Amino acid sequence: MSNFLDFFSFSNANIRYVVLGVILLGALSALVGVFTFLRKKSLIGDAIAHSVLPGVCIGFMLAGNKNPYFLLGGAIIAGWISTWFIQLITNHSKIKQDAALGITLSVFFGVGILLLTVIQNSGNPNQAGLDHVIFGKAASIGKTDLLLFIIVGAVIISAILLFYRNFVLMSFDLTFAKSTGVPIKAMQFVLSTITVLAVATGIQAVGVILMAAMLIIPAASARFWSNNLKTILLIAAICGALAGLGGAYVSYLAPKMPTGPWIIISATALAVLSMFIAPQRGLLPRWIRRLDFKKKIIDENILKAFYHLGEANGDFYADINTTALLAKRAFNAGELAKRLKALTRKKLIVKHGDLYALTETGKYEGQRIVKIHRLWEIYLSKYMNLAEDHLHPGAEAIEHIITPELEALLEKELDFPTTDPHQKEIPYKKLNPS
Amino acid sequence: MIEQVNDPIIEIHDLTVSYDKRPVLWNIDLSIPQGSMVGIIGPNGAGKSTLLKSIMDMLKINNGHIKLFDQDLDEVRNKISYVPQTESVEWDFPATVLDVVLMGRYNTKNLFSRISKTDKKIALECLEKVEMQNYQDRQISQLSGGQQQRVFIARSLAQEAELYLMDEPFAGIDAASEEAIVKLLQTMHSEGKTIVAVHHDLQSAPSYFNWIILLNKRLIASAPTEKAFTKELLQNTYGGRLTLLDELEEIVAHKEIKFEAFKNKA
Amino acid sequence: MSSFWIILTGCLVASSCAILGCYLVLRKMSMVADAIAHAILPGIVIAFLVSGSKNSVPMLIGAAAFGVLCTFLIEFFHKKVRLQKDASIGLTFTWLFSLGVILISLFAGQADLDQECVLYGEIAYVPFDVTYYIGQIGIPTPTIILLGMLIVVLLFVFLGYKALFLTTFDQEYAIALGISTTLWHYFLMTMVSLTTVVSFESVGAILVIAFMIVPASTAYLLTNQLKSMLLWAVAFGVVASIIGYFFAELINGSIAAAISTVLGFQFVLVFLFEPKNGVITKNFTRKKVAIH
Repeated sequence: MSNFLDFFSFSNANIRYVVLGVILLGALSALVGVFTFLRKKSLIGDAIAHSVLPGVCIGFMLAGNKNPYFLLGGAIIAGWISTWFIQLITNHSKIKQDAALGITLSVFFGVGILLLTVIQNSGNPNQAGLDHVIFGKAASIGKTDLLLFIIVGAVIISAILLFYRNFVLMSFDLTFAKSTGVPIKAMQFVLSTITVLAVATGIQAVGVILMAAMLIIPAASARFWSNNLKTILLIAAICGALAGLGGAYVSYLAPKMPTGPWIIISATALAVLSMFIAPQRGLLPRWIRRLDFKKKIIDENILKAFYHLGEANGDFYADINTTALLAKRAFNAGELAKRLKALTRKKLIVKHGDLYALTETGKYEGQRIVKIHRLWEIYLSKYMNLAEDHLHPGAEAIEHIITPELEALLEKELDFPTTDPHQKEIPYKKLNPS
Repeated sequence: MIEQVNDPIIEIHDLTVSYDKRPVLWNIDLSIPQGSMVGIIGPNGAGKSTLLKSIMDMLKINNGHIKLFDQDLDEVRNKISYVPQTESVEWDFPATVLDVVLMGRYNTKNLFSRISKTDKKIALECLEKVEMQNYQDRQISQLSGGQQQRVFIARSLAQEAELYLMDEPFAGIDAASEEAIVKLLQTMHSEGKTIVAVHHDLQSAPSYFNWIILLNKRLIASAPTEKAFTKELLQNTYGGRLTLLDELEEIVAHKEIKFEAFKNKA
Repeated sequence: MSSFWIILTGCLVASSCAILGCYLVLRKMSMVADAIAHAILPGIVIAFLVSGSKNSVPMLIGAAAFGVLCTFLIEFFHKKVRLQKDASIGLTFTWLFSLGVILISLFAGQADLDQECVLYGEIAYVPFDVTYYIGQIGIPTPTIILLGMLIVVLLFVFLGYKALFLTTFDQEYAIALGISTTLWHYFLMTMVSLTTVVSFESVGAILVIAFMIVPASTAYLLTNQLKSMLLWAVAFGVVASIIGYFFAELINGSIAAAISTVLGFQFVLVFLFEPKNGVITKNFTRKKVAIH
């Protein structure tokens, strides 16, 4: 508990730098990541991230020590070269995108490891901690680093603000963007550059191997919540920042643990949460909607059965027992009982002892479905050339998903027919004089 | 204009198929007579390829069933040959023409054995039939569109099947290749084979096929050419979209409605 | 003598990887393979903790299990959760890899595994891991295992030659013939998992991708025949192993990384100078023609 308070009171200046640093990095990577995510090129971030390693090492070798400007500069140049390399391979040979990414990623990384091991074996005392670039070490973020992050962050955000409109167009519809004269090549150059910048700075928190996750995961989380680019950017930035915070906290609790993996675990947790509960696209809401729809179908079939019995008897509001309903349609007895209760609650039917009868609302609802069914049979027969014995099952499938708008369209299209293919009357709702 | 036949080689019963949660074929009901040369005609996105793929059980069927030779697909696979579109494949794959044609000799039983002399003999004979016997060692990356198509057909012939399902066999090929392929198909037809091809060119359709299927998400016609290939039916097929069907499609796709929900008995 | 074993081990890894790599490149599964190589890390750590040794069956099972899990999760995120394919891959392998790194960190004392090993292996220590002797000569265990792996890979490719060719070149036709593309996909991914885990100790989890993708791609540029592509890929792998070893010795760096660097160098050479399509040879011949 004291650890928690110590950490979150931010009284310690070092902790402040670290926390600000990871939040900034998390948010920046997420912002940049949204654009690569939307263009479905997330894995390029992975290739770039692995590729900066040799740049960092060369920067070290030139500076003789872990001078952040040299390391960052080296990372940026290497990252930049890797994007050029990937393009070169795909444009000038039969090698496909995935292999180009794999080649670039593994070869650059291999060269990087080679340089790193050479440096480590050279006995230069300054190299201690250089390997943190691989798995990340948020705890080592200091004042200079933070300043650097802020500068890079300013560049990235300026670029996004400046070219926002173009980025929006390109992310959602590239062909349209081209046709409206967006300078695609230049914009892609800008996007590559800010990606490289985000990666080069972000690796301090999560390292090169997991950097891709910081580009991909917050963006993926955000995507589940919204279709609007501004909202996606905001949510992604928040997820990225929170993930950074989570990882930094763990790093504080267990200094020997590398931060990177914990940041990723935090980001993943947020992503999985989003995947489950996000209103439109989350798994849980989708599942609930599906269940609701199944219930709707049974309810509507019950009302239909009532209506058909009413048509046969000449009295729509007569009492019906469950046996009659089961004879009309092969309901599952347990489900039938449950839904009858629900329909009573919704006041579409009333209970009279062991029997049930339609209310007026219930009758009109049943009528509506039967009407749609019969209209749809006409449509199937007229426009879909369906054989007569296939009309009924076909309409059974569709009647539950015809919305009121479609219903109106259907009536109009068929010109308000009075009977269906089986010569049954089509029950239009009679307008009440009041 | 839908004519059903007795003893059909293909029987499709009330078929509804979705692709990516979106219904693309609605309640298709047709039967095709043995030994016919069938053309499937319709605008882009009409579901023509989908129909062939459904017959080959490559797509999940929402509703309905299909019978081939009055049996299930798995029982008669060796009698059926499917020719995909040439664009479904990467042609810079390291292989020769003969390598590809030999694939027609593969089946589930001989998958682990070496290619036999008979296999090779048959493959070469098929190459002759498409007039490409001199190309056996040619790299497939060097082939023109028409040659690619002929290689696919040679591969298909190597299966020695009775029913041939072809997806756009005449798409993007030169006149000479088209002529060669048509001649070959007509020879096969005269030998009693049944050929069902997705076709895009209205000009040539009536002369190539003796049975026409008009498709645009739903079936507009399936009958001998003179009965199906009429101005009115063609207008029906190509004359714009059925708004209602489109709207329905949207609803189903958007709400992710599973058609299994409708297997609601009577 | 130990140089010999190291080089031999390197060649064995390179050969198994190069052969599988050809199929990965042709099936456009390079990044999926990359994902699997990362994803099996937790499997290795858990198996290691359970069995206490590096050369064990639990390791193989643990790796294969996580390889399958990775493949399955990618499909799950893509199809069920409706997340796009590239993000599904990225999400799955990073979190599994993170899990692995955390496990190593937690159990660093109990497991003779550290982060460096994960990254680039310790092929230099292979000669000292000897349990089998022919007369006076000790054969390192990893070498034996890798030889076994190579034999398994060769058997797989030999028996499955037609199936792999068919499912790689034309999935639709394969399905039409009644051959399951999914099954062979899982077979291949399992082979990738197994190869990664046995190569893990020698070259690390990440560089193994270089061994799979790079020589295969280099071979792809050179030839139009599958059989010769396989042979060339192995040749490049073997040559790189030999040169890489001496290069590493020279500059005192990681052997696996040096081999990867040489593989990259080979690729660049062929990319630029391949007789018909190399970037530089193409320009050169064009200029020649222009002069006339």
